[in-house]
Amino acid sequence: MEFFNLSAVPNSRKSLLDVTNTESLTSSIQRQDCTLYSRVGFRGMGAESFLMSHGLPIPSKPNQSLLFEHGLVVLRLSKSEFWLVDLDNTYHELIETLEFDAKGLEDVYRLFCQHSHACFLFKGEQTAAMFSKVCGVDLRSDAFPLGSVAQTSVARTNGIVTKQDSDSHGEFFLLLSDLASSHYLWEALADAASEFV
Amino acid sequence: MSMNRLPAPLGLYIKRDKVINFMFEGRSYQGFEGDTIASALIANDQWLMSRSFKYHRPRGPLTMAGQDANTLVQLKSEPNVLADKQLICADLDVVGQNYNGSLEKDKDARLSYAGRFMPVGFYYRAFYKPKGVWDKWEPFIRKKAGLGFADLTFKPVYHDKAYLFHDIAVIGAGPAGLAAALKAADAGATVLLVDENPILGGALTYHRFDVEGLRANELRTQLTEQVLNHSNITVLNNATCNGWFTDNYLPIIQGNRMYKARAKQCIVASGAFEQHVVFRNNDVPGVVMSSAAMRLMSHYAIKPANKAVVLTGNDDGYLCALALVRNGVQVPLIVDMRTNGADDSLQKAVAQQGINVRLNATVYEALPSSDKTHLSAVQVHDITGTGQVSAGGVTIPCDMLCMSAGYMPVYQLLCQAGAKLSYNDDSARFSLTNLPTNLYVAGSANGVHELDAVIRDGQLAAYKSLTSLGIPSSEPEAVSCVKQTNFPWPIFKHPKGKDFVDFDEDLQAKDIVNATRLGYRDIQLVKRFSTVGMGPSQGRHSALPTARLVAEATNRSVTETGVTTARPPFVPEKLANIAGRIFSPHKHTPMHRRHLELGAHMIPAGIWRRPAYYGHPENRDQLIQQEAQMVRNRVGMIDVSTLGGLEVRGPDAAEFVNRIYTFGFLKQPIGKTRYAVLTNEQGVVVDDGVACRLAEDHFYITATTSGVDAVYREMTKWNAQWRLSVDIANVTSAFSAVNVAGPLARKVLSKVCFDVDFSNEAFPYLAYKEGTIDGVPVRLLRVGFVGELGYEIHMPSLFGEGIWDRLMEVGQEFDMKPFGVETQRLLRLEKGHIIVSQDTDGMSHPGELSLHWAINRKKPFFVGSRSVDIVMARQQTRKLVGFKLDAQATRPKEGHLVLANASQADCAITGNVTSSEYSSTIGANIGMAFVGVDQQEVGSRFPIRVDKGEIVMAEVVKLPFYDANNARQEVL
Repeated sequence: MEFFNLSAVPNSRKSLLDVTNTESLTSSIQRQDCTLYSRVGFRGMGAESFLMSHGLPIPSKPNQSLLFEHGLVVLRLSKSEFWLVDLDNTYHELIETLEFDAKGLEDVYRLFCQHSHACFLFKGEQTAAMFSKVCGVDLRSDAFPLGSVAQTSVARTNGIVTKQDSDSHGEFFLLLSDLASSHYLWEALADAASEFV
Repeated sequence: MSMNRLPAPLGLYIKRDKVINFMFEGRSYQGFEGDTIASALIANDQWLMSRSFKYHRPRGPLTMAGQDANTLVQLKSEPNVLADKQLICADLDVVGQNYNGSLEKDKDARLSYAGRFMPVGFYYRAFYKPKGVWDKWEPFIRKKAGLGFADLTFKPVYHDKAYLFHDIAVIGAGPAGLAAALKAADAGATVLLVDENPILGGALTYHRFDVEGLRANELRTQLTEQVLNHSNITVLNNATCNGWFTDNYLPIIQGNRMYKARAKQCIVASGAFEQHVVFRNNDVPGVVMSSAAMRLMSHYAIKPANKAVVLTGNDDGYLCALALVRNGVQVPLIVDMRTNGADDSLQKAVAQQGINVRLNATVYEALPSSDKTHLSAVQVHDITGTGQVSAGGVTIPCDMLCMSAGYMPVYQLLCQAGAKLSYNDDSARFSLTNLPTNLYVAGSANGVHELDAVIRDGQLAAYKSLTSLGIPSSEPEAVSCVKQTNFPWPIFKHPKGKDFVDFDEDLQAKDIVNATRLGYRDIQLVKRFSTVGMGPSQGRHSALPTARLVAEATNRSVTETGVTTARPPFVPEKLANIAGRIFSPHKHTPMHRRHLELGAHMIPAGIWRRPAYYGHPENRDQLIQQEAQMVRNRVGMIDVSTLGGLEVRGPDAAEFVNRIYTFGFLKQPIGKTRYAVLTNEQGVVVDDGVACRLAEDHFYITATTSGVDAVYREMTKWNAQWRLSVDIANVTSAFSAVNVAGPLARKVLSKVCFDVDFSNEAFPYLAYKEGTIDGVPVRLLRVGFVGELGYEIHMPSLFGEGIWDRLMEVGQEFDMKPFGVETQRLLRLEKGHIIVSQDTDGMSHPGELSLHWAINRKKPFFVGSRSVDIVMARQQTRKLVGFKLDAQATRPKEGHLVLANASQADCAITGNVTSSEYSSTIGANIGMAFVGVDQQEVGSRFPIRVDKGEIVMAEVVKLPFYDANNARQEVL
């Protein structure tokens, strides 16, 4: 079988979101749908050394994230699972290269987060308070410092939440959740954000 | 309407510059912003607010704190609202509850005269003899039962929930709670302070702690200012902590939001409920707790009466009397049940105000006005023994009686946490012990009543909490409090009764005693037999007198008798609060927008939304047949993105798949697909799909829409044991898919996918290939689920809509249209393919489903293999068969029962219909059903009981109904 390239034709990706209803909401919490930007995941005992060999920083413990240069978040979801998420649509080449380079490697399994997950970015002082309406994990700064990762339930859907700080976005929360539920979740979060004007 | 108000600074809760008009019983009233319905009505001299549950006695406020059911009123869209908690607002329309006629003249008040025919628990022993009499009683009882009415046109309003996270939660913002919160916050802890009232202070907002009446307000001002300005303290007022759950998980209701607080430590400083005195007519409007009179004056600036008598068993009654006099109420007498009276300073103070004190006496009967709607006088008798009074008494005219029999801790949250409430029969004091770790009690809930001691007790609880958190702080000195607040026996039974123990349920002292005489000695049984404590106030005032009466009647102590169990919620809560903003996650496929644009009728399929068919539901049958004919004769496309998808990769991938599924997969060729059946450890078929072998070490496996998550869970569970070198990934959402099916399917695919040879030789049935469509990588499976030439195209989901559009575009040439899941169900039924979970149930083993061919008997193991052998070796009881009925016959519905024979009404049920639909291809109603093993012979007929008991006879037919030679899927 030919290699099945998940990073292929990024310009042909289409969002599942219908933002016409929710974008008109006024809230101090800013939201951005980064679903169409590139990301990739790797799992396996060889994944850590594979990523390090490409010069990428690796969080030292599971459930932590790092910011690589300016717009690439590296999440460590377990001892042997890593996701790389492009926030500014500037790392596609790196991600595609990684995908190709992982081909055939022993103990490095490419994951499907590019197409299985939606990726939302939230920023604003009240973001943790907004999440407290939909998520049982305390995401306030004292309990959830920069680089923390929570794999949890958000509005009754599985979600991965991390907090990072970048030059282009400032402090922000990143939420990765099932793509098929993205329409539902986007509206649920719009509702949760609406009280923070 | 006049508004009788005292001058500021009294009236902490109200804003006098904001007048509000509202309606009560059809009349217009005025109040101020911050007034409750009850306070605004009392300010207008309207005390009667409701009628009691059983005897329809007139009732007015008892506590002015929402602790009793005497003020339950009806709003336009909400029954059973507490008038002493509900704030007034413009356009509020309020009526009383539970009356027949008018609130003032309730015809059903005559029930009071029939009380002797309605003794405690009478309903357990009435209405069922002679046989059939219940039918006569039932309409009458149903008419009289219940309180209030539901507005069926009510439109739900928005409610939601939010989590809170704090180091320490302090429940109650009285002096103990305020002191605890400040000490904890000063030490660096984050504190959540919860109070049910609009302003902080608890008893400091109304209670008088010193003769001059100055200390409470000074302290409240000082403490609340510090608390409100403290950055470590979050205050929730108008909020009720409605339960305690393990590890200090606290549901707190504030307005339309329920907070779910997580606190590392919890301090309950919930205060105490003032207790009433049991005497005849103690429920007449105007008979109130002393604290209620204090609240009326302090919170709402209402002069509660012109002439008030105070009945007390502690010093607080004297303080209340002083407050009343100061606010212009004449107090002719303090009736002190004690023999020694109050301390000297209080006695002196009341004497200076000209208030007489009668020691060792009680009110034995309250005398209502001629219209029975308000108190007109009390009859005072000397106490001659425990619960005994002298024969003669004096009558004191008054329009208010204030009662101070003592206090009971607000123990509910603590007892929910497992605390033990004890009562010392000698000192009449309560104590709470056996608290779980990280939970503390402080203040009057802890039996501490002197103000300085209460403050220290709060600080001590904070110190303990801080110590548990590892935060250093200074240790306060130990707390002791000798103040006697509870009179040991404030129960004076009257031979004529109406001496109420429980106002909610109109239970009198004799009712409790009679319950014990009927054998219900245990307090829990007394509760259930008499319903004491089961009303809206949940025993806040009835628990203690009930325990005392049961103890006396059974020759035990109150400690031995105990009190009834406290369970959440603490106060009634709306289902809307529990539901919150209802989150109903649902999934859309990438083509969802297109389905809507095409007019699909969407239906739920598990958590997904799928098109059932395209068109209006009124034309369902016609649309399904049209779509089916399109697939049979030309080509159609269905969105099958909801199919489960699993990736199994690694050196042991084939071994793993071989162990999971029933077929053999070790030798499955690369580029081929194979039907995969999954059984559980009981040998039951729980899922099926198609396993595609992409490489030696790589399988892509589909699973059922609703079953994939369980399959993934089972796979990871099993490999936790097996430790095979594989990676298992659930890629259901990562891939969207369509099935292009019909004789022209190959032609459609050839128009968009140029790097795959779709010829029958190069891409045969059950083959797997990869290609590209407009540069998008796709996985192609040659399948035959609907019984025609068909290709499933699986593509990464973000490309799903684009590929759909492209296929629809090229399909126009062949008149290709989409078809829905209901059409697919018909097509696969014609082909005889089962749907696991529709045509199977929790007992279906492979033998019943004729899936012997999908089980590899040569391999040593698969999940459930041993059980499959056992269940298939047993004598079989049923079989899944295909059946056919004439097109004119009543079509059975899925779930209709298969009977053992048609003529015997009470014969055995041998099975049920699992699938049923009319097939225009076959020209008959067709279906699948479980039948008895003796009913499975092809050509035989079996009975199905359809709607309205009709029996239809179905003929067993050999599956499939359509294209038995599989020629259609091999079309060139």
